[in-house]
Amino acid sequence: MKKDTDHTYILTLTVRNRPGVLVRCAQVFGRRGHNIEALAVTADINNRSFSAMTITAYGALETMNQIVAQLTKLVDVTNVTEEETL
Amino acid sequence: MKKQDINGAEALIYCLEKLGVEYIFGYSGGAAIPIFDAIITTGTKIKLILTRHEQGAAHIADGYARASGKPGVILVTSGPGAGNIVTGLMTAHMDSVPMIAITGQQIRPMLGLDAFQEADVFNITMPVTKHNYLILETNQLPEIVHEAFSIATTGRPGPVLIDIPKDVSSGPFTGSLEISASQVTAPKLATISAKTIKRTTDLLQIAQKPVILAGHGVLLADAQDQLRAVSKQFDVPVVTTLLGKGAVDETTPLAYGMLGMHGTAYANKAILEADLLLNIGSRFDDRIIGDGKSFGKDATIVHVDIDAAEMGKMIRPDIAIVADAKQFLTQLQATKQAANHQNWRVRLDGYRKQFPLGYSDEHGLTQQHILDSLNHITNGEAIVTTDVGQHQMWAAQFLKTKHANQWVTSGGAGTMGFGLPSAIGAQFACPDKPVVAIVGDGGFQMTLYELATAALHKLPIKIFVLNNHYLGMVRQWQELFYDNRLSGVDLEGNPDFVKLAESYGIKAFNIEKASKVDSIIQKVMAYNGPVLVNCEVAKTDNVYPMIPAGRAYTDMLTEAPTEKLEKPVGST
Repeated sequence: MKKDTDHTYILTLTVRNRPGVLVRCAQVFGRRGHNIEALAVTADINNRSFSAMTITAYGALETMNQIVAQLTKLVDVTNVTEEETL
Repeated sequence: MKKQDINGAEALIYCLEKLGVEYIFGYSGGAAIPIFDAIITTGTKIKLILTRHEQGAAHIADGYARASGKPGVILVTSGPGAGNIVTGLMTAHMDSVPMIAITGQQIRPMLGLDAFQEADVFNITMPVTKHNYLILETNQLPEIVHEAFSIATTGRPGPVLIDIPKDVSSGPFTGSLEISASQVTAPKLATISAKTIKRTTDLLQIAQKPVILAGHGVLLADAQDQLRAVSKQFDVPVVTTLLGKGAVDETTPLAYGMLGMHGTAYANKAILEADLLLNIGSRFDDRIIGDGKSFGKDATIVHVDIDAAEMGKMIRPDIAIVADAKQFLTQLQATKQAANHQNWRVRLDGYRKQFPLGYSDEHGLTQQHILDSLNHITNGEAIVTTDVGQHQMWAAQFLKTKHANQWVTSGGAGTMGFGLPSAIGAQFACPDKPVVAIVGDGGFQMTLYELATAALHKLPIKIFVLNNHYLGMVRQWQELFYDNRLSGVDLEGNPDFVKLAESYGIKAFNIEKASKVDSIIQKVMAYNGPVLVNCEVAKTDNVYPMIPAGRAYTDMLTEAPTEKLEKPVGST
C-alpha cells in the first residue's frame, strides 16, 4: 500500500546486455518485498552491448536511495539515475 | 600438448594455474567429469582435494581464503552438487570473502528441459554471489575466469560462480589463453581529498572520547599495521566487530575487545559514551547497533567503507568516506598529526576493571574455562575457527586475537557447521601454524563428515567440541524471552564423539573435570596430528554481557536479569 511518505520515482539504468541482468535488477527490489510498478527495457541501437532500463517504483526517499546504491553496485549495471515525479 | 588440441576444461585449468590457484576443493559428478579429467590431462600443479560434501568444500575454501587472504576455489557438479554449495556461497557473500565456485552443468541443448541433474544454478545463486556467469561458448572461458577472479578479489570481495555446461567444458578450445590486463577492469578508487583527511584529524584531536570501530574491511584491505599505528598516533581506543578481530592485537592496551550484542561491557560503554566514532570497514550490522535510533546518537560518526551502498544503510554518518581502509589509514598516518586521550583511556580502563570477563565452574565445567585455558596455552598464536552460537561468542570474548587472518568465523550468515571445514581450509592455507576449531555439539554434527578429509590429509587441526547437549544460544533465548519453554533445542541422541573420531583414525579425548582442562589441552596442542576433544560442559550457562536484539546500549545486561525480559523487536 502506498504510504504518505512514499513518492513515485523513475530510475534510469544503463546495463550490460547480458543474460540475467533483468533478474539481477529485479532481485534488488524483490528481496525487500518492494514492487516495481512499471518497467521498460530497450536496446541501445548504437551499441548492442548495452541496454537502457527504466523502472518506476513507489517508496520513501531513503529506501529508494538504498535501492539505487545497491543497483549501482551490480557488475552488469554501469549507470543509475534517480528522478522523483509528481 | 599443443594449444589447439585442448578442450574447454583444460583451458580452464590452465587459467586457474596462471592465476596462482594452489588448491581446488571439490566433489565430482556427471557434469563435472571433463573438468576433473583436465586436472589429470593438463598435469597441473594445482592440488585437488576431494571433500565429503559440497557444503564442506565451500566452507573449506572459505576457511582457506580467510586464513590466506587468497581466493578459495571450489569445483562441484550440477544440480544437487551446486545446490549444496548455496549455504557456503551465502556465508562467504555475507562476510565478503573472495571465492570462485565452478559448477558443472547439463549440456547446452538440455538447459531448461528438466534434464538429469539440471538446475537453474545461474538464477539460484545470483543473490548469494557477488556476480555469476553461465558460460555459453568454450572460447569465452579465459576472459570470464580472469574477470571472475578480478571481481572476487577487488573492491569489496565476494564469491563469484561460473556455471559451465558439459559440452562447453568438453568442446574444443580455439581461443587465446593470454588475457591482457586491460581486458579485465578493476574498480578504480578516487583518492581521498586532503580536506576530508584534515576534517578527520581535526575531529580526532578535538574529540574528548573518540573510539575506532574496526571491521572486517580493515583485514580485507590488509590494513592492520596502519590501523594499529593510527590508533597509537592519535591515542584512540579500538573496539572491533566479530569479524574485525585481529585488526588490533587484543592483548595491547588500546584494544577493548568486541562490541555489540555479546561484546565486552567496556567496549559497549566506550560506544555509549563516545563523542567520536570512527568506523573503518564495518557495515553497522544489527548485532552491533542494537537500536539504530539511539546508537551513537551523541557521537560524530565517520564511516569509512569501500562499498558506497553501506553509507547510511543502517546508520547515517556525519562524514561518509568511500575508500579502501588501507588508503584512508595510510593518509591519516602521513599527516604526522597526533593526539592524547589519556583521561578517556583511564575511564575505559576503569570499566575494564569493573566489568571483567569472568566465569565460575560452580554449576559444572564452563566453556569459558576451556577457552580461557586454550588462550593461555596457545599464547594467542593459534588460528581459531568457530561454529555459531554460545561457544562462538565466548570464543570471541576469551580468545585474544593478536594477528590478522587468525580468527575465522561465520558472522553475517551465522552458519552452523562452519567450524570444522573452515579449520581444514585454514590448515591447508597455513600448514605450519596451529589451527583450532571451536565447535558446538549442534554445528559439529552438521558437517562432521569432513573428519575424513582432515584424517586423510593428516591435517593437525585440534577440534574442541564444547558439548552442552543443547542448541545453547536458542535455549538461552527461550529461557530469557519465552518463559523457558524449551522447544527443539535438546540434542538427545548425540553420538560418543570420541569413538566417532577414533573411527576416522583421529585421536580423541574427553574433558569432564575442570582440574583436567590444562593438562589435556597441553597434551592435545603438543600432538602432531588431528585431535578431537569432547568437552562435557555446563548445560544451561548463558552468554553475558548481552544487549537484547534491537535494544539500546543502555539496556546492556552484564549478568543474568532479575526480571522477565520482553521479546526482542527490531531484529531477530
